[in-house]
Amino acid sequence: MNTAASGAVDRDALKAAPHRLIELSVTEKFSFERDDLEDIQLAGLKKRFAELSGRVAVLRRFAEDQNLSGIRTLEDGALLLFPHTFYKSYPSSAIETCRFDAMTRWLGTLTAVDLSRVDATGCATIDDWIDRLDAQSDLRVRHSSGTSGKLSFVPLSTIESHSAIMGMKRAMQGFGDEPGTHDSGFGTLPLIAFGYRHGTQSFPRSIDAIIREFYAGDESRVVCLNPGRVSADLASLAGRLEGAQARGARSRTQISAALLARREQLLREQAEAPRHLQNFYDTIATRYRGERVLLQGVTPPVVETAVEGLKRGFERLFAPDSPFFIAGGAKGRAFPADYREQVERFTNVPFPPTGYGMSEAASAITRMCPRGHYHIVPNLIPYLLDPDTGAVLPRRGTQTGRLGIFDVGCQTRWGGFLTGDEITLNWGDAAPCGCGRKGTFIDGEIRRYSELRGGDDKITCAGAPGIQDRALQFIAGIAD
Amino acid sequence: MPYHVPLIIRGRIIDDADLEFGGRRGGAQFTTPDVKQHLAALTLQHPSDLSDIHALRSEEIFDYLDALGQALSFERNPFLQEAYELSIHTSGLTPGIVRHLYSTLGSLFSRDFVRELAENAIGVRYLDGWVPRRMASGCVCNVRAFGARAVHVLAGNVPMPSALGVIRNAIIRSDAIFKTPSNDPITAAAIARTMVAMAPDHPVTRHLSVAYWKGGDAGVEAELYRPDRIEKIIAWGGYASITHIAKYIQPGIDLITMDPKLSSSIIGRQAFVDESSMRAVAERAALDVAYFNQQACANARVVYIETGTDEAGLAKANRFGQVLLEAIRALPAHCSGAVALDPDLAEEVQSLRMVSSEHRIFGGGQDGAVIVSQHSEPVDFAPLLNNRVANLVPVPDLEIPIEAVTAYTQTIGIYPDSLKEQIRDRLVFNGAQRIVSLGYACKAAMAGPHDGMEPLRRMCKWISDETNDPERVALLSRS
Repeated sequence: MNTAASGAVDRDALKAAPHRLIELSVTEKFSFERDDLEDIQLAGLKKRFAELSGRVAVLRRFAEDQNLSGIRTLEDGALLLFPHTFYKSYPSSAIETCRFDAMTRWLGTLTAVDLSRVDATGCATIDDWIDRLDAQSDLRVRHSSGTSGKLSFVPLSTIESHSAIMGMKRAMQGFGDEPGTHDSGFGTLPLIAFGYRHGTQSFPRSIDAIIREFYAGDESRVVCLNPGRVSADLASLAGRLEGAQARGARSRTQISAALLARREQLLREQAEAPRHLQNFYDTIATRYRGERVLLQGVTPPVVETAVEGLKRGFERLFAPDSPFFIAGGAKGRAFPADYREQVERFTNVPFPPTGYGMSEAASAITRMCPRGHYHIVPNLIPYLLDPDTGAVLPRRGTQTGRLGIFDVGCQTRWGGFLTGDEITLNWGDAAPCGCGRKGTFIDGEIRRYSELRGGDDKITCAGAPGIQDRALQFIAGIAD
Repeated sequence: MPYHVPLIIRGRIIDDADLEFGGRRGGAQFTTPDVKQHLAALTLQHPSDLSDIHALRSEEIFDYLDALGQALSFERNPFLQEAYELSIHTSGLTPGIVRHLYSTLGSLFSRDFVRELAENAIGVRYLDGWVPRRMASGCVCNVRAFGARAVHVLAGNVPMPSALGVIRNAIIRSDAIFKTPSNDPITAAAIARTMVAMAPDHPVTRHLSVAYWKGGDAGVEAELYRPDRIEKIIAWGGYASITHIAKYIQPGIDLITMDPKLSSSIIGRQAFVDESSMRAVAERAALDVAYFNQQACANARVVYIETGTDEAGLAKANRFGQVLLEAIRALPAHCSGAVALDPDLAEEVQSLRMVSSEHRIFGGGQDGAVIVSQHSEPVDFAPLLNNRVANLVPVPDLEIPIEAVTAYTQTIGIYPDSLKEQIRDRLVFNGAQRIVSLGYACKAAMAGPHDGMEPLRRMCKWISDETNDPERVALLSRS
């Protein structure tokens, strides 16, 4: 992304290619005057609607339903926010009876990527199906790990995967003079990833894209907590069992023959997990002790690995100026009170500012500023809605409500979505954040509506502890 | 502006306004005394304090209840009127429904009805005295049903449990502490205040307390739920309320749960032979779906229809969907009314409309909806169905709906009655607790089993007094 000699960003170029907002430096991202930014964002919103309403069937239907034939103002975007349920609106039986062609057709209504040449014949599991999509199209579907009920599938493509890791790379930077690293280490430093290497959740998808784009596919300088694959089938089964439990029908959950056939493999992988863990510790301690490395993970596995590692005598492993990227918060887990100190002691690296992101976006990732706020990155247009009526709250001052987002960075799917989070958004006009960044920021806690209202369905990207084990137990217990 | 709910302890009205609580469904806030300040008075000092009510004969109790029923006349009772004003803001029921419920509440207490309930469920003679039974061995076993000290944890979706609790408690001569729910703290209080106004010193009045505390408040519950103070806990409510209580269960405390369940309907192929048959059946199905605005456990959420799933079958199913929607909308105001959907449900329905090619949806918004699956499966979010949204599921035969019944199934409404007789045993094996003719899910017989057991019998203490004469029944040392 070229900037003019004076340091000003090229606005026309951004209006023509709004996803390039993701590639700006952190300083550039948060230096926009509000009018300028909204001008670019509105152009982006209009452009995406024009490009996608003819190619994404659900967008077309939704727009018709809302009597919206075009975008005139930023507020129009609030009428087209897809609730998360859209991404799990397939019939469960399609998965249970392996009707993956029907799943492909369903997914096709949510993406502009051409799936007409995808042939799901012979796919017996969800993992098979997603692999087939990867092989025969540009789609790189991400599944989420619902803790009850159904899996959702978000149809990002290779294009958004690229934007996502560009955004991650930039997110490591500091604003202005803040400490932060301009050398994120992507590609230059060994990568220590606290998660699965393979699989179709957000984390392994990112690792995959990072290795391909920054490490030229060279796996030798990448160490993952688990070299195996996190299985979408196991996650789906876990969710179905929890749902069946809630309906009093757990013992009657049907497993497809194909999944049953994979039973041995899945149980073997589970049995291997402790060995992989020890191997991880041994590898990082012998190969990279004292070295500068790039550390990457979501908070729960980072904390759990650090706590366990300290118990096994592994500590002060890396060079203290190693770039360290942690995203997400506690996600309902109970951490020890001193978890940050334990992570620091394990890694020898100061606990970094936490990142916040959303798996539905192409790139939403933003690190906490020195004042403790998450600033909304410029490719995201934020909306706050009244949680009961859906009315859009005013775009000024400080407001609390349900967060909706339009990501102009999504090019192959509609980037408008409704989150399940209640946040307090400061529009940065009357009382800007003292850190110097301009624009909107999240002020205070982020709370899930499902927790606020006593529900117990949580979508997490790290998965809930134990439920996959229970799913494995269920499979193991089925009589031959 | 929060409203005030009194604490009522055995004929005494306590009007402090110590604590404030929020209503559910974003509704009204209320103030009420802090129960922790009154715990000593809340429990009976001594179990023999039940002797005053124990001394009454059943006919005297029926007289009291009958008089109470008359005093619970909506037009003349300011407490019920206040409860009505508040309920229309906090419940998912429309004013027409709520008004009808409060207007008919009094009729539950009529002498004939409560006598029938007592006789069918227990047998009045067991309440009024010891009933001798001569056994084959020569022993004379005298059996009597005694009252117990109980806590009732009430549900708030409809006002019936409060009224039923008062009636049951009186019939079996128990002492009851009603813990009210936050979404309806006022109905039980209204009935109790009527009792106090009518007969403040009567034993039936003196053995009822009505209190609100937040479920799970250990400051109250750890003191209350002890076997020296409480013998029975009768709990209406979901998993969350039961888990609060479960940790106090120990020998000496009997937990009777009426937990929320899912109900459904099964309609045999005879209903779909022609348009007029469909219309007649649709009215009955509409009642099971939409009476009480689908807020009660007995309301049907999924309706299985034996139309077949070939092209002709789906055409019938879709036509029946339209006819059912019309029937729901045509229900009179005292049965059902337009109301906004819960946001989670609204999102699910919207997703189906926008994304699914395997469902047809008739209606939507506030005025009810019928989702017709175009294959033999209910929607995945069936447990969320509420506020007059039904899911029609066409099936080629009845195996699917029979196998769909689980331990979490309560009522199944069936048409025609011949089909009901045919499949009822299998439905029960799979977990169903109550079988009714289609259209009568919400017209509870109320004189018999509830939730698969006999609550009135379980709420009593059943005692045997065994008389053995050594001349007739040899002593154990002499046999």
